[in-house]
Amino acid sequence: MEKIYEILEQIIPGVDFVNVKNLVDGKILTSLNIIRLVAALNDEFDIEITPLHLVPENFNSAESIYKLVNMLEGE
Amino acid sequence: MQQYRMLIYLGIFLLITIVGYSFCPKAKRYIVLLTSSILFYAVYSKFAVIYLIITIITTYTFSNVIGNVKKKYDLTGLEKEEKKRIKAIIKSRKKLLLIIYMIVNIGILAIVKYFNFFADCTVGFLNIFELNVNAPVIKIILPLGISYYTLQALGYVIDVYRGKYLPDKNFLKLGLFIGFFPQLYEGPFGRYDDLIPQMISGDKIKSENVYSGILKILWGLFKLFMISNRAAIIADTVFKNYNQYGGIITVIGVAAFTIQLYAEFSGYIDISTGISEIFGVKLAANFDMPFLSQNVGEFWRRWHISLGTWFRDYVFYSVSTSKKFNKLGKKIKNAQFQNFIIITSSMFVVWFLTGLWHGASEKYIVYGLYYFVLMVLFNLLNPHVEKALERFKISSENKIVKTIRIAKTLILVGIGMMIFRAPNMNEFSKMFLSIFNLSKQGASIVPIIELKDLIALIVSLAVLIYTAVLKLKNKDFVLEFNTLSPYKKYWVCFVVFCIVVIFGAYGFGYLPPDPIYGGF
Repeated sequence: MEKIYEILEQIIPGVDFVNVKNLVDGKILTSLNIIRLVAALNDEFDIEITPLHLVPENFNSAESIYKLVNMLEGE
Repeated sequence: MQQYRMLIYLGIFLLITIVGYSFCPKAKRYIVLLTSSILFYAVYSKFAVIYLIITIITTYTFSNVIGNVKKKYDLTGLEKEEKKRIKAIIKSRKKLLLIIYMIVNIGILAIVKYFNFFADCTVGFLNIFELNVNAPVIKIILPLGISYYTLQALGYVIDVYRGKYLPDKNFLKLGLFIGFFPQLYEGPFGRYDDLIPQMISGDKIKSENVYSGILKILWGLFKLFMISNRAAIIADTVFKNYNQYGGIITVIGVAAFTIQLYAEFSGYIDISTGISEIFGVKLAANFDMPFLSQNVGEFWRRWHISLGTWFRDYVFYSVSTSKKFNKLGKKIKNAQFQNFIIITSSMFVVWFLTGLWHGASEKYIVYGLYYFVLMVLFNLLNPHVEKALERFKISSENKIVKTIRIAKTLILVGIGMMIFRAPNMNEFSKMFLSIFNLSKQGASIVPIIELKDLIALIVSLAVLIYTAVLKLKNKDFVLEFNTLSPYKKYWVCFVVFCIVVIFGAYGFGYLPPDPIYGGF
């Protein structure tokens, strides 16, 4: 989880990622930011996030991102 | 004459297919659609059907082999590290198979469409070093719709590779997805999970689908014969004799080409959509009033939508999230600049390939890169423009701001259309400069187009604009049509048919322009 906070902080600094639950719906994460986030997550966790996973539910909070990473690591 | 030929073939095959489809048992109806599609291709393009069959066979084989790679390994109960190692093996095998598939299919496309262009480029490069090599030239007729069905099939294999769905085990169903005849000419690209359930449902032909389909076909014919063929008279004259014109006449020529292209391309798409709808297959929309876009990015999200989404999902996403690409990006320390470089480089790849997809010529590459430059500039400048508007307390929703933005986009798109239509970049430059040469602008466009054709064009354009206005008010004329009684539907179709037959620009006195997107 810490690693995810770190990656998010690098992409959009200064956001309270612990409490914010509407990163996509609140337009905090733009589509281009998501692309950068996906690249960083793929690299860090050796997973493959495909366009199928690009739904707001998977990126609205650090927690949902963590769940997505866990799911892909377990596949 | 290609326009007449294609429409006659589509009409004949539509009637034959309706008969075959209606008399066939429900479970086998998709085979009728496939047989018609292959026969349509073979009759229209003769031996070139072999390219389509190769694509169907390789797509079936590779998608199934890729889909089965994972099945050979049992990951249950393995340690994390071992699991990771095997997953890496699975991934690399799948990737290798995908690359081989791409080499075969993109290779065919490259040879038939781009060989002479690449040979010319290579020879041109070698001749810089005074090697005096002659370019080899091969004469291959471009197979019908190869740029469309190749990308549609490639998208399917990439989806299987990504695990979006399991590969289709039924060769005939997959063949229908790739070769469905209404789509072959000018698209639109479809997605497997959207199209295949509709294609294989075998539902009987319903009268409401027939009426709706016929209206769309007639609407497509209206755009072709009432608008596109007439706009082409002005566009062809101005572009072929650009040195005789200047100023406003050149601008009218460019506008006429833009109208010609839109009416032609969206007209053929309407015909494809209408034919498909008769068999209960709803193709994805390819246009959404593109000329009301406020920036060029939005324009490309509303123009040739299926091409834009294809490049977004299969090229932009793959390049911008690839590990190797991002490793290179990481050499840049500043995070913001790193983001900018990675996104911009991915956009460059997309727009270079988009340009190249349109044709084997330097002007198409420039056409793609022109939009790349515009979009990069937009990304850089737009935040400042928004801030400035905010400072002066002007809303982005302000009608004047919107109008200015739409006008700006139209001008930029018009310049793009000039690149697209000009024979080469040299002539584009001369033609572009002639816009500012007011001494040649002449007084009237009537010598270019007969008055009766000009009036018919203006009235038809007014009808087209009226349908757009209705759509803006959430009143789609096709949806409104669907609510009518069968009797009224019949008369609406009959009236549109009569208008096209009586007033359409075809036959004696008209030289039908070759379909522009049909050549891709």
